[in-house]
Amino acid sequence: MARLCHVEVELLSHGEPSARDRVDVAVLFADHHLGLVRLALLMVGDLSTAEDVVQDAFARTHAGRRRLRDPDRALAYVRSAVLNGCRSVLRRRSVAFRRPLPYEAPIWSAESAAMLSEDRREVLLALSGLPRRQREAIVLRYYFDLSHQEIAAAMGVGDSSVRSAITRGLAALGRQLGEDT
Amino acid sequence: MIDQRLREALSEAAQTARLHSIQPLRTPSKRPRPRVFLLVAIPTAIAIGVLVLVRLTPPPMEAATSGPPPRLSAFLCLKNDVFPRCKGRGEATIDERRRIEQVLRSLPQVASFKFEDQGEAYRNFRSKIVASADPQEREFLASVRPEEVPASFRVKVNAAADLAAVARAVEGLPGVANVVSGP
Repeated sequence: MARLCHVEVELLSHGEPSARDRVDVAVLFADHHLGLVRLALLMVGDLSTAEDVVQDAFARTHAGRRRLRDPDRALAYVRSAVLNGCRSVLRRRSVAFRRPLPYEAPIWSAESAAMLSEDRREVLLALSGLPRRQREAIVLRYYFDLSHQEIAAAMGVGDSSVRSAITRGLAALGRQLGEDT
Repeated sequence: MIDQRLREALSEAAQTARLHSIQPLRTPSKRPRPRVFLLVAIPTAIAIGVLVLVRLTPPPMEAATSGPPPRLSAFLCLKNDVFPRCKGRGEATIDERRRIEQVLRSLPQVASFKFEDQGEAYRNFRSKIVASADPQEREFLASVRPEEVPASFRVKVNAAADLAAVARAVEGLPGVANVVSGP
């Protein structure tokens, strides 16, 4: 604790970032709650699991909530916290016989209560079959309209990986959905 | 072409999550407190009667003009509150308050709302309820301390028919003790 304070004083005496610029993760989560739930929903497929993922990510980052100093990176930080949560849900699901099943049928299945049209479901189903990196990059790009840099920051990979993931993902989707782009 | 289909599918799927249908975030609870319940229980028991009385008695209406907008009040949890929704948790936090505001703002049925903090609530309580009570009751009511009067959101709703829907949306949020219709 004493050391922490010391570091803090040191940082402050260097002039920036000032204490005012510090970001409260709790507030950030609250402000972007809906967006984060939607991100998780598109990744894991059902709303209840998505809500849990966001809640867990929030609980995990809550302890450090006043320590995030760089406002420019704060949003990327919470996005990657949520993406991480989705990854572990999906990873656990993929382990046969030990999987936490989704609470509800995923939105891309015909049993889903969400009642999306056939074509929408087909697209989402194909998307859910892509490798994780491609799927994440495509959701961040085509739903959240993030730039390549923002996607890279949220996913914790380099710019060029994002570009190639998107290109390959799109190509694979095009093939599966019978389009010739 | 494929990106257009993708965009549409993603946005339609994402739309299935709406702000007031998703569970609000819960602030992780701190380490369990030592059991000092009994110490708290006795003063609390005395406060119960007062609180219930205060909350269930809506402050007097302003002169009944022709069709005042229907209203409701959502009271927030106090420290050691007795309402079931507040049991085992502390006072409503700033974050919970923000979340409630956010929900109120997102509800189309809400015409306007105002946050009344404990200080203001206590002043209103003194000037409206205590002052108009009969002498016997007054002595009892005057013993209520400022920290025993809950903060609240005073909400004006568009139509009387919307009261129930708004009450339902607010009632379950963390930090809300109870919802009472009337001003």
